Amino acid sequence: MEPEVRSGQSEFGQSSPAGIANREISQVRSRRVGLAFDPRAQLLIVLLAGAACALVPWTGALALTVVLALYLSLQGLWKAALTFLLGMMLLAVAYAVSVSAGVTVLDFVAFMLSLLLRTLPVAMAAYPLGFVPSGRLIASLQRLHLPKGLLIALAVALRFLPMLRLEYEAVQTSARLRGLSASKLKNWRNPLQMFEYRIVPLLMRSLKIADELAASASVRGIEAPGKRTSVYTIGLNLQDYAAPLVFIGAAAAWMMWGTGG
Amino acid sequence: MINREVAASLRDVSFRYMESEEQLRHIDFTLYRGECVVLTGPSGSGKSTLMRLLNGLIPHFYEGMLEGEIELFGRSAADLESWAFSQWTGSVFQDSRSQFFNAVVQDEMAFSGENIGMQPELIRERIRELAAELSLENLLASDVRLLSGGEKQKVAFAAARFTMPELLILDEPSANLDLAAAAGLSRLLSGLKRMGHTLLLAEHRLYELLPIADRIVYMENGSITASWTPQELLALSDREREKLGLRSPVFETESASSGELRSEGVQNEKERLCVSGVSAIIPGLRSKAAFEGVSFALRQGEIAALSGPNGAGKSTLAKLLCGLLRERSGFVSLSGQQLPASRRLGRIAFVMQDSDCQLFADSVFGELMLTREKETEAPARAEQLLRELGLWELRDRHPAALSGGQKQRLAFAAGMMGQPDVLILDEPTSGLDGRSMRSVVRLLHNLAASGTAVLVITHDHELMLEACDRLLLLGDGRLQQDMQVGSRAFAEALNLLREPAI
Repeated sequence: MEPEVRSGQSEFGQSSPAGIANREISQVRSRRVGLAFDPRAQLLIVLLAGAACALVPWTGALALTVVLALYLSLQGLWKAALTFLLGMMLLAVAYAVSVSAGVTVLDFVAFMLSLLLRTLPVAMAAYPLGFVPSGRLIASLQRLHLPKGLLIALAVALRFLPMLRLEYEAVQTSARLRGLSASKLKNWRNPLQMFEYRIVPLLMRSLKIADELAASASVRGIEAPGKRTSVYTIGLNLQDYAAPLVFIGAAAAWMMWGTGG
Repeated sequence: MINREVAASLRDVSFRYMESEEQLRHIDFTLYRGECVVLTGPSGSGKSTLMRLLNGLIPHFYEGMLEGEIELFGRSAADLESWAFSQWTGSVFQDSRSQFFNAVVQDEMAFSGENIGMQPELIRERIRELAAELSLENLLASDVRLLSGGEKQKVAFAAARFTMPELLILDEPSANLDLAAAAGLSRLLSGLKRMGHTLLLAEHRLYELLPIADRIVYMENGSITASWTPQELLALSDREREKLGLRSPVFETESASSGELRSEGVQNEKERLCVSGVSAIIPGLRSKAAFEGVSFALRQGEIAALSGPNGAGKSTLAKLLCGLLRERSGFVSLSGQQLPASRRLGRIAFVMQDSDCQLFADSVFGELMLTREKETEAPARAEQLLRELGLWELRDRHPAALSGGQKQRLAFAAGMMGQPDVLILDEPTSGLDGRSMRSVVRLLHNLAASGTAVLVITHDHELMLEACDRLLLLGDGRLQQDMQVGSRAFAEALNLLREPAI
C-alpha cells in the first residue's frame, strides 16, 4: 500500500488535468489541499466499501477503516479521518467487551454494535462526496449515462439538504423562544405533538423554498433538451484507477491472510 | 433618448392562477429596448405575475388561465419553450437563499450556460469576463452562503446575465439589502443600463432607483392604473403617495413626525431593559468575538432601532438578549433585576423575519394558546390581541393559509401573549409596501403605548423615522452610537450607512 500513497502524492505536484478552475476549488473553497478524485471513482469506493463490509469479519471492517482513513487524508480530510478512526476503535472496544462479557442481556447491544461497525466504514467512504460541488458531480455522473432527470433530482437534493438544516435551526430557535424547547422534559409529555411542532413549520418552509429553487432552475434553462456541458473538465486520472485497485487489493489480502486462516 | 424598438409587449393579457386568487386583468404594457421600468404597487397587485410572463415561468412553471398576446423581441412568447427564454431574459429573485442552485460561486454563474450546452472554453471565458466586471475574481471558488448580501446580489446578476440576455427582470432585488448594498445595487443597475440592457424591476424602495428609471408603473388589483416619469412621481404630494401606499421616493433623514416629542415623554419612565458591558462570541466552529462592551438601556414605552451593516452582530445581540445565547461578560437586567440567559428566556419576545418558521399550531387561535392551555385568563387575552390585530375573524384558519402580512401579525401576537417586558423585531418591514410599512408603524406605537419597550432591528430608514425614538448603531464589534432619531447625528449616521463598503 505504501508505494501507492507516495505515487498519489507526487501526482499532486503536477498540474492537474482537471483544469485551473478545479484547483481553485480544492484550495480556496474548503481551505484544504489534497488530491482530487473523480466522483465516479469516489462512488465506486463507496460501493466497494459496502461490499467489503458485508463480506469481511468485523476485524476486517476495522482494517478497512485504516485504508479509508488514508483515502480521506489524501483528499485533505485528515481531521475527519482521525475522527472516524477514533469512533471505529471505540466501537470495536465496546463490541469486544460486550461479546466477551458473556451476558445475554448484552447480546442485543453487541448485535447493534456489530451493525454500526459495518456501516460506519461505508459512511466514511461516502464522506468525501459531500465536498464535491454539485456541478462537478452532475458532469461526472453524466458520463455514466444516467438519465438527466435522475441527475437533476440528485443535484436538487444535495442543494436542498444543507438548506433544510439551516431552516431547522431557525425553527428550533423559534421553538425555544415559545417555550416548546426539546430540552424541556415537560414538553415530551406529548411526543407526537412535539414532532408536529417541528415538522409542520419545516414542511411549510420546504415547500416554499423548493418552489423558488425550481423556478430559479427553470428560468435558467434546466429543462433544455440537449447535452449539458460543464465548467469542470471531467476525466479519470491515475489516482481514480489506483484508489479502487488498492482498496480491492487490501480487502482481498485481508480475506486471504488477515483472518489468520 | 430612448430607442423606440420594442423589447417586450403585452396586449390585453389576463391571467388567473390555478390555486391562488391573484390575477392579472387586461394588461397592456410595452417595454422598449434600453429602457428601465420600475413596477410598484401594493403586495399582491400582480407585479411578480407580470414579470413571470416575460421569463417564461408563466405558463411553463405556474399554471393557470392565460389570455392575450405576449411578444418578446419580436417573437410570440407562446412559441418559446421554457429553456429558450433564458436567451432573451435573465432573472434575479428576491431571496438569494432559494435562487442559488449551486454551492460554489463560479458554478452558480455558469449554471445557465451549462444547461443550454455552451462550450466549456466559452463558459470559462464568460466567467472570467463577468468576474472581472463585477470584481468577483477572488470569490469564484467561495461558498455562496458565506458571501455578504451585496456579494450575493452580484453573483445573482452574473448568473442571470451569463447567457447574455438583453432583458433583465429583477423581483424586489433590494428587499434584503442594507443601505450600502442597496446603493451599490443602483450603481450596478445604471452600469447595465449604459451597456444597453433593458431592465424591468418590481420594487417598493424607490429612492435608489429614480435616477435610473425611465418610467414608474403603478399596479393595483392586477391592473396598471398609473405610470409616471421620475419627475412626475417626485411631484406627487405626501397625501397622494400615502393614498397609493407608496414609500418615499427620496432618501430622507428627517420627517415631520419625528420621534422627538415622544421620546421626551419617555425620559421619566421606568427602565425596562438595561444592558451593561455585554460581550458575546459568535457560536459555531471558530469562536470569534461578535461584539464587546455593549451598554444601553430601554425605558418603558420606548422604541429603539438597532442598525448597522450586515454581519455587525445585530442578530447575535438580539439572541443574547432573549436568552438564546449566554453573554461572555457584562450583564443584562430586566425591570431592575439582573438575570442570567436561562431566566431571560420567555421574558423577551423575539419576532424573527421569517414567519413560517415561527408558527406551530393548527389554528390562529391555537397559536396564541400554545403552552398556555392551563392559564385561565389566556383565552381572553388571546381574543383581545387577535381583535387588535384584525385577526379575530380568521381565528379558526390554519396559519399556513394566511397571507404574508397576516402571518407576520400572528407572529407578533404570539410574541405578545407572554406579556414580555421587551419585544424585539427583526426586519419587520423588509419587502413591505408603504401601506403595510405604515401599519407596522401604528402597531409599534400601540405596543409601546401599552408599556412594552421595543427594539427593532432594521435597515429601513423610513421605519426608523416614523416609528423609532432612538437609533443604536452596531459596527466593528461595538455599539458605535446611540442617538435620537431626527437629530443631526442621526442624519449623518444614515448617510454614512449608505456609503459603499470598500
